[in-house]
Formats: sequence, C-alpha cells, structure tokens
Amino acid sequence: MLFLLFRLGEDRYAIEAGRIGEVLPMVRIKALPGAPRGVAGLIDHRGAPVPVIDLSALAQGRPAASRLSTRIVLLRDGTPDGTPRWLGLILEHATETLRCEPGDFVDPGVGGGEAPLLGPVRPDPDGMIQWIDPRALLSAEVKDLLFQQAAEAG
Amino acid sequence: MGPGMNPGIDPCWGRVGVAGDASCPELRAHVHCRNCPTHGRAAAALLDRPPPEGYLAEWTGHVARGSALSGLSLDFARREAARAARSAMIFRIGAEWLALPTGMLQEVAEMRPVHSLPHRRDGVVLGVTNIHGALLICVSLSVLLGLEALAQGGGTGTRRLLVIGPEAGRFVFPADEVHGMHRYAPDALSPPPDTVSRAASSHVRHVLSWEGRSVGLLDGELLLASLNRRIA
Repeated sequence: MLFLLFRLGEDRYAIEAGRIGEVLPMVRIKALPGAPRGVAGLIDHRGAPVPVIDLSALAQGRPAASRLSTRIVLLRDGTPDGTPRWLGLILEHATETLRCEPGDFVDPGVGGGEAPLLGPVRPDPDGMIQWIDPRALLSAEVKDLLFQQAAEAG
Repeated sequence: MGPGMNPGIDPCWGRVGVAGDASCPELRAHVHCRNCPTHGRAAAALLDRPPPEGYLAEWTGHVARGSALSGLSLDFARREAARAARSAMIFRIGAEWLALPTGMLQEVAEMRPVHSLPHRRDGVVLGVTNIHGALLICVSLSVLLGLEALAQGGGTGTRRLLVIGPEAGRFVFPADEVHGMHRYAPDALSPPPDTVSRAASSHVRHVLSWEGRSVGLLDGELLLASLNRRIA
C-alpha cells in the first residue's frame, strides 16, 4: 500500500495514496471570512471552487509555512448520496511517499476521544509515522458548510 | 557548490562521494550518491525554500486552467491514458465514412496495382498487392460491408490503401479518401442509428460524431474474423 508522508511540526504522518486524486503546488487561496479555524478558503481547480483546509492551522494553530515543500493535496470525498467532490488539504513537507503493508501500523494504545487525528502508528528509524484518516479531520457540519460556500462562490 | 546552495546542506557528494575522492564508506552500500538517503535528504531540503517570486501566481493559473501536469495526479494520468487509447483512423468508402481503431492499422500506403487472383469471383478478394516486398491480400470493404458506391465523380480526395491486422494476418483495402487519425473521448460514442446500411451495421458497434458527420466505428476484431472467413 502506498502512503503520502507529510509533517505536522516535527512529527510525521501518512495519508493513504488511494484517497488522493492530485498533489498540487501551493496556489493563491481565496479566504472565506468567518470560516471556522483551519479552513484556509477556496482554490480554483479547473474552473471549479474546491475548499481547502490548512492542517497546520487546524492541528497546531499556526498556518502552514510558505515553502516549496508545502503542497495542496486533493482528497476524494463523497457526499452521503455518492456525488464525488474534492477537499483540499494544505500539508507541510509533502515530498515523500512510503510503500508498506497496512499491518506495519500498530494501535498506538491511546483512544481517539477528543483528538480525532489519532490513528495507528508505524515505528520508523526517522521517527514514528502516524496513519491518519482524512475523513476524521472535519465534522460533517463543517464539511457541509464548506461545500455549500464552494457551490455558491462557483 | 554554487553560492545559492542552502547553508544547511553539506554537499558531501562533492567531497567524499562520486564527485569527490569516493572515500565515503556509504558508497559500498549505495554504489552512487544518488541512491544514498543523505543525498535524498539534501534534495528534499532544497524544497524547503520559500517559493520564488511569481510562483504562486503562475501555479494558480495552471491549476485553474487544468494544465497542472503533476506527476502525482493519478486521475489526470488515467484520463489521459484512456483518451490516448481512444483513437480511430477515419476514411471514406463510397458514400460512407467509417473508422477503425488506430491500434489495428499498420500503414496507409499509396495506391498501387492489385493483381487479381484466378478463381476468385466473390468480389471481396480483389487480389494481391505488394507492400514493402510482401504480397498481401487486398480486399474490398465496400463489397464485404455492402456499401453503396458514390455516383461517378461524386467524391473528392485521393484513393489510398490501408494495411490492417496483426503481422501474421495482414489485409489491405482501398479507401476512396483517408482523413487521418481522430482522438475522441469515450463518451463521444453513441449506438449506431438505423441509417447505417444493413451489412455494415453488423460490423459497426458505435458511431462517432466527427465534423458534423456520423462515422461508423468498425469492430476491428470482427472485421478481421469476417475477412479471414471469406478468404478461407
């Protein structure tokens, strides 16, 4: 199984590559005034507005650094009725992939609860890698709000 | 190393690596510096620079226009591959515009003499013709498919020979006009209408819309099978 690696602060995380449609370089983002924390705004992707989440802002309270290694990853995201739509994530150090077995990730031994980002971890000489499920990043209410705004802006 | 190199990067490959005296003990395991994780980390560190001026504006335009050719774009690559696979050669026989999947076409050749064969009077086999020194069977799609001929002088364009089929079982057929290759999206196909003549319709699985015309896309496998039956 292929994973895309990225960093939050000093720690490394992995997203399943199969959920990713595209990896884009950083582009201009149209801000959404009054949007919840972590919502960076909208990008124009082939003429359609796509909402973008800044994972660093969401998890660490500071916006992602402006570097060439900071990229926008488009996740395939489906509505409950099956209509496909895109969700962008701003990720720092999204420059590496990792091929390994899903079984290499082990239960970290601490529950989810208040921190929805927790997932199984894979011990690695360069620091543990945590597998996060992008679906758990946002509550359904926030996602609905985002996609509603994206449709109106379009 | 150039003055623009990030000061945090140690260019060891120029000192003890392949561009230096090759004394690095890691070389035994990695053979070349480009296989070494130290080299890889240095390359990744270069990406930690702030974006150059104009970078955001340029890429904002590319992404908005859909011209961002990211190598990591799986969907884009798949779509392009599907598009590239859908290519057809368009030609005219009599009054009918037809197409064959480009993959089964070997060559478009100039018209040349076709030598008739004795005891072949069914009309499908026109004879044999010389293509690069090989004698290939020349057939009439017009007869096989039951196409109507145009009125005398009714068509424009140059007659050419099309060579189709696998290397071991090639056929040649004359076309009254060859337009060339046409790429199409998979959703540009529609089922054949009733106006395609009866014999042709047995070989036409789909209809392509091209320059306001409906072009019958022939089923290549089926066509070859029919031709092989007729020459047996």
